[in-house]
Amino acid sequence: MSSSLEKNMLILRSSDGEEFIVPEVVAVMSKAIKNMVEDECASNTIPVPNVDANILAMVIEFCKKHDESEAEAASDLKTFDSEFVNRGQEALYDLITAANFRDVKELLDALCQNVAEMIKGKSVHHIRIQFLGYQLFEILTSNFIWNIWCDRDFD
Amino acid sequence: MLVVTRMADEQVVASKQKEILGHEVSMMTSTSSDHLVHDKIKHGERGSSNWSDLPPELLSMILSNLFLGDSSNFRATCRSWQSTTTPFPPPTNSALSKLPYLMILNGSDDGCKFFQPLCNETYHDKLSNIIISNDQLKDAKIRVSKYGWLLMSGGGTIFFFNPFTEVILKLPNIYWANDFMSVSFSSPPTSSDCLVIGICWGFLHIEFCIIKRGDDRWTFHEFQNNRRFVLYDASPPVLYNGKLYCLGNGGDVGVLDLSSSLSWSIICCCKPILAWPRFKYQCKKCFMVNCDGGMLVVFVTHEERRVRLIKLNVPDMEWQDVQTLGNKMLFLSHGASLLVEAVKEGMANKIYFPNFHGENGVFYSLDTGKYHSVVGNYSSTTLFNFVEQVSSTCTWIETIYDDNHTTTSVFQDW
Repeated sequence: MSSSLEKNMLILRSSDGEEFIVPEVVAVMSKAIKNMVEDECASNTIPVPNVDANILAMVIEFCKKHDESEAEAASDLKTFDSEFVNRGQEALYDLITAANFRDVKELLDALCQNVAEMIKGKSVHHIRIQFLGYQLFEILTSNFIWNIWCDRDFD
Repeated sequence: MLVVTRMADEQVVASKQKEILGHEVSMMTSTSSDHLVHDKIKHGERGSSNWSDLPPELLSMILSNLFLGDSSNFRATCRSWQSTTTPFPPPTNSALSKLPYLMILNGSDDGCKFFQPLCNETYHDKLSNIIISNDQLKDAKIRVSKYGWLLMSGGGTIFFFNPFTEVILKLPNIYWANDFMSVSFSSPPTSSDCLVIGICWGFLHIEFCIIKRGDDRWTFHEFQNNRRFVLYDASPPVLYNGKLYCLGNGGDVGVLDLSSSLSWSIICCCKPILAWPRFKYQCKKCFMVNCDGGMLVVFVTHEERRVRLIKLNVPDMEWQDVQTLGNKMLFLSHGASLLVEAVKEGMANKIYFPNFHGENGVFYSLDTGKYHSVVGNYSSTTLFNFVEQVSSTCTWIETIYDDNHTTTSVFQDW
């Protein structure tokens, strides 16, 4: 590995062993990685435990975009953010924990805002179905059958 | 044969019983398994995403974008979300950070209180010991609040105070600072073009005391008060396009042109107010606030029985009655009045007063023409039952953080 690469690039290794070569400016958008780099406790490769390759790729994409478009219009960035965070439940959860764990503030803000948007105007029941995995069908059927079972006459 | 048939009958019956039993057993198993699944879901063991176990700081970040109905729905969703509180100070970019807080000084012994009317929550903020032990702050009154700074005066001194960074910025002495009828300033006191304007009003003369950032002396400008203009002291003057608009008691507006040659003029009484019978005796408070294309003046009668909004269109100086605020909320107080865009539909078209009904904040709805408590379904046509905060110790404050400000010294020079 050449020294110039070492200076400006960092290698991030996800929990499932995949490696990503990322410019340092992008990587240090995560405060956790920034601290590691500043303390010089990071060798060539920085392990990113608890974050798998899929999610890490997404986080890197987000950071790259934010790094590149500092000069661009803020409105462009906003539309990118809103499109970026518009994902399924599972990916959103993984992203939000990854962002919290790696301390990427911009991503965390965008994600929390998106989750709030998803909750706005919904009933408690809908929030439960959406976020806690309750399923209307399951609740109804289990209660229904349970009630029949309890109401039976055993003679 | 008979026996055989009986046997066969018994077999049939037994098999039938078995069938029934089997059915029952399968039903039993299905219900129990359903309940297992149900329990699993309850405990959040389903799938890898486990929203109910998010760390509290993330939950409060999410909550800071939700209000009233949504936030109570959020809390009712599951037990671990129930105890989530909104963060203070609010995180930047959240909807909460765009809203003003009602700051109450000396609300507690060692600091001040911040009240957020939309979540109906109160936060206690401790001030550092240097600030508390400072005599200046003890008996000082809040005069104006702007850009997150408070301009306070007391004991012959006048100074800026930032409750978030805890910086005190002392202005050059002017011993009649306490007698200023009103004060205003043009931009954050840390910026180089900040201008502080104090107004001394008398029946014959009206005097403006002006100081620019960095100057060590005040300059004084006196004008004849020919038109018997009576300055209204409860509402700070409003700066708009380089002109200072001061509200008069009779509903007239005085304008100070701050361009190179200072000039003072008075716009005559607005006609809609004159048409309001016995206005001068009824009107108890008025507030002036910037709005697009002019000034919004709010007149409130005794016990706040009637609230009236009138807009002054600036270039053509015409008055116009306003029936609705549209998608805006209005926050009124002695130190600052703010017009803010509503973050949620249900909040628009309301006026928030610095009054309380028990622990709950109070707003006036222009739709119903009544006062309502934020929580608790109390409504009234007057503010009689609502406790008003002492005007000299409370004000609405925009939570703007002075990012350029990196120095740590508590006392700074003008």
